[in-house]
Amino acid sequence: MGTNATRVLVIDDEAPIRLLCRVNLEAEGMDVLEAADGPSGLEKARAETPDVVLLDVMMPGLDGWRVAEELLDDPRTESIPIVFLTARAELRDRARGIDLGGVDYVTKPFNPVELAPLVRDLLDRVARGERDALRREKLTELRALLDRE
Amino acid sequence: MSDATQAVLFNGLPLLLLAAAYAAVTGAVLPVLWRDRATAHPLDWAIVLVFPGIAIAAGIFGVLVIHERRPFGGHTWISFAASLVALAPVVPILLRWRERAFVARGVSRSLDAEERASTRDREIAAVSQISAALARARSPLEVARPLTAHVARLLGVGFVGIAVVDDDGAEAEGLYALAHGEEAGWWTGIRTDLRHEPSGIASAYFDAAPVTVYDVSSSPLVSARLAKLVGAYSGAWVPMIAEERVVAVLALASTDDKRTFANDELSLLQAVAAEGALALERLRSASALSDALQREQRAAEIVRRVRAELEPDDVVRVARDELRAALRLDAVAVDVSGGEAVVDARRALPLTSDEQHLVETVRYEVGAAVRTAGLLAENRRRLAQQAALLHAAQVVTSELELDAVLDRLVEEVTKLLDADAADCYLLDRERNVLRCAAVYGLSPELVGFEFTPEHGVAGAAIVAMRPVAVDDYQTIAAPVPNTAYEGFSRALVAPMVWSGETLGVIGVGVHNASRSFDDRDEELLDAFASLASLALRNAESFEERSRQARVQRGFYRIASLLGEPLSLAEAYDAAAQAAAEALGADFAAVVAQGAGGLAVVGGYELPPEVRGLPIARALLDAAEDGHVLAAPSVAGDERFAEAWPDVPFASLLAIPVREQAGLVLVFFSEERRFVRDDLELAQHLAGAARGALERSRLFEGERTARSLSQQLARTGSLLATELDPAAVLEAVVSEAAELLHADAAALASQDEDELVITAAVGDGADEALGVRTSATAWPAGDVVQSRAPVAYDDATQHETLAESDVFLAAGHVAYLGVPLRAREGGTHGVLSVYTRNARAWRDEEIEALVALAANASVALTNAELYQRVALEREQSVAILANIADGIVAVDRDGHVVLWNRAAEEITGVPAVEAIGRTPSQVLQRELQSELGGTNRLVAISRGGEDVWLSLSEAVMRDPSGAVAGRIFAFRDISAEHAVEQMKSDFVSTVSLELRTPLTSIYGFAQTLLRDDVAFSDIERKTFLEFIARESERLTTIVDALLNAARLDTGDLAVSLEPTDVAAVVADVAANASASPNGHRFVTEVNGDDCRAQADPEKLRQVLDQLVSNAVKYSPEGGTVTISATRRADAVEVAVADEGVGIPPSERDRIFSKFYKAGGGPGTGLGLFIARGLVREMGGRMWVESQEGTGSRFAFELPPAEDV
Repeated sequence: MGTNATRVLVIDDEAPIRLLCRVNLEAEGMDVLEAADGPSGLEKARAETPDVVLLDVMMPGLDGWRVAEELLDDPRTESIPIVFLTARAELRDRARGIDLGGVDYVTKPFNPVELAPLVRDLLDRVARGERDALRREKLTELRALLDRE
Repeated sequence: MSDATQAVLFNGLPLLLLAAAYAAVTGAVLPVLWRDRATAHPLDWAIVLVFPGIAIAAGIFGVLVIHERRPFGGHTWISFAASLVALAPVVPILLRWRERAFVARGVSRSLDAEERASTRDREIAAVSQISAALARARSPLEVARPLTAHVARLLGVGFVGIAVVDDDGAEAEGLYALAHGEEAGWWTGIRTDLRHEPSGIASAYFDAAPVTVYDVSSSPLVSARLAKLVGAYSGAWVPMIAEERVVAVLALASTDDKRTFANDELSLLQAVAAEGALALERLRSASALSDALQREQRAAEIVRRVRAELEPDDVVRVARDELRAALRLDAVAVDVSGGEAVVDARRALPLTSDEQHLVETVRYEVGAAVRTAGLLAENRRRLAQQAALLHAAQVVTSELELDAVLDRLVEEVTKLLDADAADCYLLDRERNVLRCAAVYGLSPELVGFEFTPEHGVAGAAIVAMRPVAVDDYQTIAAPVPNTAYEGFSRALVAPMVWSGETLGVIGVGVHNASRSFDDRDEELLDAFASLASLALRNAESFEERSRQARVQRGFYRIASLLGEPLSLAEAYDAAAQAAAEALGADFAAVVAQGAGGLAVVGGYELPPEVRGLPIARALLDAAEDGHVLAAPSVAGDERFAEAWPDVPFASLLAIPVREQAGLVLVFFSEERRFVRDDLELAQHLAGAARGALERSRLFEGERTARSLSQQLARTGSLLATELDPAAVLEAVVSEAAELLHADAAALASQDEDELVITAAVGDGADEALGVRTSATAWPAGDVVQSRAPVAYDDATQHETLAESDVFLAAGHVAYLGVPLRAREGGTHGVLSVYTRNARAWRDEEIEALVALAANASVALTNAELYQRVALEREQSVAILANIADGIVAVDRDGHVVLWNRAAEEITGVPAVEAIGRTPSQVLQRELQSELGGTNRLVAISRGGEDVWLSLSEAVMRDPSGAVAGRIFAFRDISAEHAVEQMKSDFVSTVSLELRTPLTSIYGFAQTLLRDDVAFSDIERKTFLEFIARESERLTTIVDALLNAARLDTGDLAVSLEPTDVAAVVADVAANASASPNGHRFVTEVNGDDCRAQADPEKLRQVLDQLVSNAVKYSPEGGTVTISATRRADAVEVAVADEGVGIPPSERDRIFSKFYKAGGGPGTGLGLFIARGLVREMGGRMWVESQEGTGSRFAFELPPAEDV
């Protein structure tokens, strides 16, 4: 693993999902860190300061919403872009995720092959300082969808 | 030395010297003696011849010694001593040579001296003898007696007398004489003229030395007269001298023979005479002193008495009496008329100088006393005048009223001048008459009498500008033409002048002709006139000021009227009072134009009989023309004779108040002349009163209007709150009567072509109710037709009116009716008021009734409307109460006003608790929303359970568009909502649960499909295992869903058979232990027969679920105990863990469908299905749990049924 490789922290209680992510992201030359629950995920994030966090929502104990809030509250981790990766597909949940500070929201089931390009693209934009613009885009999109509903 | 020498030197020579000394003395003395040998005494010769004898003897012995050169007697030193001793006597004679004659005449001289001493002694003895007697003398006689006796004895003469010389030396008077030892009485008092009659006395007097006459008979010096009386032969006259003055002469005469008087006799006489003179002089001095003293005392006494008198007459009288007594005068006259006192004192004897002096003293004193008395009298007179003037001034100035001052003036001046009568006339310059203002001692009727100043003393006094006195009053040229002045003899009149202006005159008169007026009277009257003019001026000033004050009071009264919000009636009274006070009237009235012409509308102290008098024609004219009418004498005034034959006032003044066409009348109980001031004041008053009345009228109108409007407002609010139409009608008529102070009021409602009296108050109200009249009949009909107020002040003047109106028929007289306008513009009735007496309806009253009618119309409409609304409301409430939906209405403030029965049921809150509060207070939830809308889903809590409402909201707005309230309608859709929720939960859970395994399956499939990555076989296998496992999981979930669905629908089939529960438990425990989950599993089987009637598969499924949960919700390393217990009628199976436990609130819900503890993964169907399965198997499931310790899930199954 090269030092320049993108480091992705995957927080999910489902081992198969974590494996899926690892396999596909590593295949694209990224480093993958794993955490099976919220607390360990926070710990890892603070310790390793990954480039991006893929965060499940429905976890026993500390759920993904809380984890996201804590990450964003912590100065050490607040700049790390968060991508929610969850089975909660409802629009209001997606809106909540973006609202909380997430930059993207990927609903399960997803195509793991597309994960790496998504992460890369995301990081590029964040690197360009378009993190808030990204979130606004997502929110606008979601609001349009909600209104349609 | 030899004895011889010694004898010569010390014996012979001293003897010779001795002889020489004695010889010298002899030579000196002998010639002297020789010269006086005639008178020399033989002894003198003997003494002188001693000296030559010794000289010769010594000489002889000396010669012998020298000669013999032998001491005399053989002893030198003894002889020498003898010589020296013998020499001693001549030494002083030689030393005092000048006095050597005394040696020669020593004896003679001593004899002479002795003789002289003898005479002297006799004199001294005689003198001392007489002086002792004289010293005791107390009178000249006592001097004369011893003196004469002594002298007679001393000189042995037959006659001794003493004659006293008078002071001026003109005469001598016999004092005392002794003839032949007897008193010669004739001598006493005998006089001899010293200047013109020769006498021994005169000689001795003039010579001041003793005179002796040897032969009296032949001597021209002697008074033959006296000599004859005495019978003298020889005489001696010795002057008795004292203080160098001959005070008397001592006369001696020998009566038996002639004789001489020796010198020493004369000397003796002189000495005795001197003693006598001294004694006489002493006595004379004492007597003179006593006389002087007595005289002075007498003079002083007289002076004292004279001075004690204050009146000149008394002074003269006392002086006269005293002088007469003191000087024993025969006649005395004292005259003081000439200014100087003159005293004429007469008596037989001439007056002595002392007496003259006394007379002079008295005269002087009388003069002084008379002058003093005169001054005193003048002073007293002036004092009396001053006091009288002062008194008069006090009296006069103590009065301020002019009349009183005048009365006091005349009274005081009469007393002051001691006159019989006095009068005071004031000058009316404009008319040039003197008018009598006050009299004293004259008929009071004279007051007011007038005459021109050409008459009487008064005219003269005014012209002269000074007091004029007339002695014969009855004969003056132009007497005052009044009989009152007849009988006066004298008069004194003074003008009263104040700063050059003659105010009038003041005069006094007397009947008695003996009383005349002098300068002093004039002066006094003049002074009094000045005082009077001052008092008069003061009184006039006071009158003027009083009048001004009165006028000002009137003005102030008017001013205060203007300032006070008085009613018109009060203003009338006040105007009357102001006029009366300002003009000093007894009472006053105000008459004003009323309905029946001029009538009394106000008064001040107005007697009832005056109030009831008809208004005289003249007053009507005055009121109409607006001119002041003055009647100084009503009784004699033709203008009032007819109307007022007998009235309790004498004069009046009518002041027009033009604005009002009225009059202010002021009445006076006495006839009164109205001066210009009065009229002027009346004009002022008229103007001021007019303003005040006008203001009061405005105020009255304003007050009436305000009162009416206040009452209207009150009525309005009363009517506005009354919602019963019948009560409104009653209220309207009551208020109408009260508003206009009417005796009756009625409200007639229009009913087709008729008017029906529907409400009435006052007399005849009961009979009037329900009475119908034509809508065209008078007078209410007029109101309906004209739709305007109709008023009759006095309906009796219209005969037909009474027929058509029940109240007028009942005796009411005045009528006012106004229409009750309907909202749509028509008339729906008439409001009428009536009074028993005729009265004028004022505009504001009519307007007020119109306003009341308008209020009444509105109130009536409101009441009817309210009735209608109330009915509708009742209906609405009934409908709302029975509607199935909850209906809640809130007002504009959000407070609940309606809460129907359905709302009570749905919310569980009774209406009584909800009304008046806001929905959010009642339900802890806001019902209204900004958007409003229908069928909103709102959850509320009802006793802990959520109730879902389908809520519709309607907003009520008032005409202005503001929110006036809201109505909420809702129904309970909790059941539907629960179904919906369940559906929703199901879908979302299923979705979630399916997505997780699908993700793995889909993801690994996609991964495996990647051709850009070469996976190893192990990886591929791993991926495929995940796909397989997740597919299984997917199947389980679907099964669970199916089971759940079957449980819901009751389609789940169980095949019950006797099943060994213990075996199943053991099997499940074994399986659980086999999987690596870090827990310890313990099985317990209690009882022998743990067989139950159950479906073994389903039982396993239930147990698997419970064990799975125990593992999931308890920490690693914990023990999970699975037990089977045989109960009496069941087999109990339980799974206990050491987990976190379940809170009590969760315990019921954990068996719900889709419930998931902690939000973790899972379908939330496990316990739901487990319990459902147990229930399907005829058993029941429950949970026991303690937080922090663990949970125990248990179920029991029926025991196995043996076949």
